[in-house]
Amino acid sequence: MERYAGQTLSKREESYREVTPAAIVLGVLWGAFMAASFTYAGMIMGFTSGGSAIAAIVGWGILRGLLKKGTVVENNIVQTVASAVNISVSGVIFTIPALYIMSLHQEINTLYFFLATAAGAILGITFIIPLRKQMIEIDRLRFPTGTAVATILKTPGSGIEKARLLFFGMVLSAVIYLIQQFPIFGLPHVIPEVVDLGAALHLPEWVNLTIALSLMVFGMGLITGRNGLIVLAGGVLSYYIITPVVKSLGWIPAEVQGSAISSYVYGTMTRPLGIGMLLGGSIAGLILSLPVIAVAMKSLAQASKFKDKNGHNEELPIHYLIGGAIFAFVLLLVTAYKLGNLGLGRSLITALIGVAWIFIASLLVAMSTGMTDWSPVSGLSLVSVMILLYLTNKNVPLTILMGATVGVAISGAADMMQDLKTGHMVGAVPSRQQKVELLTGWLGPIIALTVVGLIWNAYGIGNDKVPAPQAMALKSMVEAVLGGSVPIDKFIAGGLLGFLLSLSGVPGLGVLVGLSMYLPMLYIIPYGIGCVVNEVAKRKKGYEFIVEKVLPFAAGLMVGEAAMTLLFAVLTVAGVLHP
Amino acid sequence: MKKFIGNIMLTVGLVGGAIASARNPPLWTALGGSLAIMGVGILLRRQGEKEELHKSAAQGKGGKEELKRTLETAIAEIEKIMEEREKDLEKAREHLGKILETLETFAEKAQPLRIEGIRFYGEVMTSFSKAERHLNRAWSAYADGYVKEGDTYLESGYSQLKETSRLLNSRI
Repeated sequence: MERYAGQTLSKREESYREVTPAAIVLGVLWGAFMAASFTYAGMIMGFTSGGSAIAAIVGWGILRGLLKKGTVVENNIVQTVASAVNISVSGVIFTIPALYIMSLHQEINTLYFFLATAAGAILGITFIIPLRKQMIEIDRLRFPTGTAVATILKTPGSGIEKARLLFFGMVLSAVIYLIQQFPIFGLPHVIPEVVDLGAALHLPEWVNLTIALSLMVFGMGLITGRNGLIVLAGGVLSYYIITPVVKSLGWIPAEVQGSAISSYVYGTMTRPLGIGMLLGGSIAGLILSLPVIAVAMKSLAQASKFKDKNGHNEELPIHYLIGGAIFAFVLLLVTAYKLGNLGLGRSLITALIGVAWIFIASLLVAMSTGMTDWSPVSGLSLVSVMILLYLTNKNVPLTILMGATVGVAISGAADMMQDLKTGHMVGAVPSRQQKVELLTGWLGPIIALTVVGLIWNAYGIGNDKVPAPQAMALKSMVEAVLGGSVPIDKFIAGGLLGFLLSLSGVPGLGVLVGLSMYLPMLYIIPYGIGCVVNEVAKRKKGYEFIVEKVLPFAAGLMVGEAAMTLLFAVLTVAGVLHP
Repeated sequence: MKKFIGNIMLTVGLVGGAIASARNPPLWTALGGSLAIMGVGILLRRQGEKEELHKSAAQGKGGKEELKRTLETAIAEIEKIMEEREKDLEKAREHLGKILETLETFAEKAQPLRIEGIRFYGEVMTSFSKAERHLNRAWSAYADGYVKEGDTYLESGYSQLKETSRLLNSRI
């Protein structure tokens, strides 16, 4: 019988390994390692990463390489747990360090940090569970990272050719990324991270045609395909139609000149418009999907009554979701009541609106990542801060703490959906993935908060050594909201446009165009090129070519660069690198 | 033609609306006009799309007929796998992988079902996706050497595909 890469095919009689102690322990350990590394590195460099794909590769190495008994669905549990533990890092480091920078952290008992962020982790996961059917089964959103991870999980059984393509993509993108980082090691700058094509073509300075040379972003586009073309079109509208028109109409202050014009239009016009469109588009999408959500909920309630031959539910019983939401609501209520001196009535309203906002934001983030792999977390944070400052009577510590709840929730929601997409593609049982994510998702915030506390004691935060750029950005947002300089008119105008676009009959159009106006062109171009290549390849070579050749190669491109970012995070934590 | 005009109006309205909104403060009247153009564009677009879908369904291109054929082919192929898995499991698993790739196109082809009503579309896709997930699990289990698990889910996916086919036929 033919053997395939990494596989010794032997017929096994025992029950199929899926949720095992080995998978959970490995997932928690690897997730904790990534969470600690990315917390520290994220506060220095300003970015984090999900790490699902790396966890899947590590899972293969240990479960099958060392323990000699791993299965596809068991390794899916490893990556589900690891990414659940790791993903909430961004929700914490974007918010909590701002309290330290503003010297407000002592106003809140540490226990509340843990409770509020744990509530976020639980809320994000529970809210997104009922939407699995709609987004994955009915709307068939692509979830590029989830698709890439499924490709990795299936590679050992998919034949040597796919394994080769995956490996080639990984090595290529890792090597390119490494060469781009040469200056950090004191080596010559061979391949830049960005190319200013506009300058090379002698275009006017205000034409933003800078391209990020990121194979990971190109790979995301390769997996996304047609949906991403709308993002590319929206980027063209934003940067190459609106910007010149606005300039020629004289709507830009005279002191803004040269390359600053593009940044000005982006910062004060198109980006807030994009945020509004995202919100309007997702609300319209939610309304239009209500009949389908009703079908999904009915099917969920029915499915949770039926058990498989082993006596397990395929879908998580609906009372888990209700229980989780009530639990998290109570935690938010207690936090608002105890910390905000708001009185019971206002605390109740704060908790209720907070929970409703988390639902909408989770939906939006899951839709965005499902269609493009990008989540507009910073834009949503701005809206969160705006809503929460109003609700809490401009209580800044409470606003930032509840902002952390929202941040953790929406990161968790997007990750849960990516993991469920992977699970769908490898045939995992959804309820098992959801249970392990609920059981472990709250660990990440505790790890991240502990690391933030340690960093504060060791080096301080918001200085040359630990600049915490995302928290500084949040501090600016809070100050902007307190100073009354939030572009609410742009949010409303964008919301109307996004709402109408989503009624057009093209699923998610409002969200896609909003996202394209919100994102910097730097990444839209390589992503768009990936989408175009996918579409051309599909038309010329057929869908089978995409599945057989393009997907494994694209997954490799995403994993190689992601692995390098983790390596650089670890090297930074170890003190080897000082970016 | 209606869809084409609708698309143009939608695009013109969007560009005009985005420009009007970009000004500080926004030009609300111009935005209102743009939204109205977009609204008419959306109506035309949706009407045109409905007409196109009905036309192609009547001609037997796309629509339910093609979906039914896709499902029937997949069901027949799975029956072959059920026979060949006894002789050569590896070949059966490869065969299943190919069927799963073919089934991926079902979702794209299923879009016209939306004209039958969003609830009906939701029911068909829910049933189809369950079948797909079970067949995916069968593939994974066979790849891992868990033959019993693979057999169980192959049969379950097969039954669920038949259920999807029955659902489709219920609306003829």
